[in-house]
Amino acid sequence: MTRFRTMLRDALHRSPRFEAVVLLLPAGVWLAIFFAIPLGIVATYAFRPRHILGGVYPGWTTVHVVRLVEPLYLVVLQRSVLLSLVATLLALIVSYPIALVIVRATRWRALLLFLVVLPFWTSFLVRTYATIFLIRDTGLINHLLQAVGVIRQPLRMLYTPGAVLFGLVTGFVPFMVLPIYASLEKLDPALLEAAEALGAPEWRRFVRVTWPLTLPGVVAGSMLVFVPALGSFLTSDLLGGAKVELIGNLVQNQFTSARNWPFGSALSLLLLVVVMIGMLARLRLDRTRTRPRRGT
Amino acid sequence: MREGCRALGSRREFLRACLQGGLSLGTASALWSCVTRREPPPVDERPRSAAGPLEHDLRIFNWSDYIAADTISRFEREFGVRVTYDTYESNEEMVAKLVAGGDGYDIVAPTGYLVPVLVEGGLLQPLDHAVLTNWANLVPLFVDDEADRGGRYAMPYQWGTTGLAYRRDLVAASPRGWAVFADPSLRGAVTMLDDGREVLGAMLKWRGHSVNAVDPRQLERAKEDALLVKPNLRAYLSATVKGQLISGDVAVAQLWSGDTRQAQLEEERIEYTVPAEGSVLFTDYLAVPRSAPNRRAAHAFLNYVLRPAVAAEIAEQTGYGPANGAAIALMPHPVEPPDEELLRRVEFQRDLGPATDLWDRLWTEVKAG
Repeated sequence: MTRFRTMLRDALHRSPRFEAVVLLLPAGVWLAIFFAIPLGIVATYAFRPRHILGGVYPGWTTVHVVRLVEPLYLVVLQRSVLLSLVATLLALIVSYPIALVIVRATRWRALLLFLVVLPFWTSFLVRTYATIFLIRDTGLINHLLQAVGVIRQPLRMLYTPGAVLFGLVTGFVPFMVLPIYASLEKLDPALLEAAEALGAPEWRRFVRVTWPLTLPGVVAGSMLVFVPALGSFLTSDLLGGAKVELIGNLVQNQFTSARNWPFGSALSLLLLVVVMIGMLARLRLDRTRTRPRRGT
Repeated sequence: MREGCRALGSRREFLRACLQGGLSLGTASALWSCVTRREPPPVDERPRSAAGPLEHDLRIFNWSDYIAADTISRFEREFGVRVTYDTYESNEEMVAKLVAGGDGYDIVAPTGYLVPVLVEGGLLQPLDHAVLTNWANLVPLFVDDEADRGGRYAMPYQWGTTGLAYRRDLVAASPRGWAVFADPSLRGAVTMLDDGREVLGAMLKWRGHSVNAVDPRQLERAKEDALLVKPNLRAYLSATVKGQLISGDVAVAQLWSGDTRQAQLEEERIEYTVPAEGSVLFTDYLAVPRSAPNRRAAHAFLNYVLRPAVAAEIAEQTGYGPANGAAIALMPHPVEPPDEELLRRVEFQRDLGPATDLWDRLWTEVKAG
């Protein structure tokens, strides 16, 4: 046993490649079984004839993929992308100041971080239902506003596009705060001190030093918000009253009431392509940023 | 569909989420083994005998809140069978599971329009009427329906209608027909079901057409009507609307009769009517999947539900009508079978066949509009 262990250790030390293989094996197997294979199934199902009960027949067809370019589905996709972009932007506007406050706090930092993560203690579904109770006509917010006398008629908040946006932003804000906080924390205070010593006012220190150096955190957070927002369907069902159709609702519908699994798979692939475009854009952004700038 | 989830139909959405998550991740093997070539059943297939000693287990897959509180425990005690009881929130969810490999269920509860599809797809086995000794209790109207004439593959369980549930204190006049959804004075206080067949079906009935229409022109008109009505709607809500009716956020809702009954228990100002132009009548069945491992116990359970006292308790607690005629007299709040007057107005939903795609497309256009 000990001999085997020594041998293994030697092998690992001698060959970095062998070490890499061993270390990546669990994740690789996991990804293959639970990501690559299902994705392959989705990809092949998109090109199969559909079975009336759901499922597919053997054989190949392109009708489902061709159907994707119909304006009806592109409109839904466009709306989903737009809504997700706005949600991401709002989440950023809310999250950056939060991250700044947490970084600057010394005594309360642990507590504040804990509060950011706290929502994860309950499921997204439960939080969404809680939102319903807050914003419905006879909900807490309307009751309060009416009691104080600010409004007479209850405000229509639930089942509006605004409610969907609100649900997405509140649901995903922690995903935005944490990466921004991480990059803010890594920021070397000496750089800010140098900028100050050279006479840069606070806003300029932020624009020229803090913001560019925390951009990777902003980009990472934005991806973490944008991607799940784009695929979401529960929020628009529950807070939008199913009146705001998103691409996620379309996919879900194809696998249930429409009993059209291949078209649902094709829609999923479309969603995947949009996300990939976002990822590639991010990679490009990274590359242009790391390229050394010519000095003046 | 028939949820009794009081305040909000959370489980429906949760299960939906699981279903979708499952499809994209976990059930790879089930998907691979998914039926791609299934033999249609022989035309005069004879049932295998379900007589003899019962198996020790029984797995039931039923609509959520679609049974009485102690039906299962009493059956277990009397027959010495251990029951696993799972629930679903839509026909499609159940079909998706059956198609993906069955999960070993012995009893499922499809709605009428789905029964012929499941039979044709070879997913159900014929019932052995020799052991269903209480069969004569069923109302002929349901047994003779074309969904499964004579009950060869499925046993009528309960029935209900789609109609208008409304708060009499929140409307100026009692709504009579589907036009209520276009009434500008109720803007933002009305909801329709989150279900393409129900919404487009209602719009079709409004113009005097069938809820099973396949004529593209009629369907196009129904879509336009649905789009016309949409700005007036607060939302498309199914089970969740019960809570909103009770709280008074919603004044008029398109809803199922049994769900309305459940809401009435908490708020007596809720009324129910079937629109004058007509609506949907549905029957849910109990059936035994072809892959059922415990067919004898399944038949024993069906025969148990056929007992008038058992059926009466289930109907009383779920708010729907029993398909069991002998049960009606035993209910504290009897639900009589649909009478001539109602039958003239309502229609059973049928499977749409190839028109399913057109319906789905038009419904997507309504939702995306």
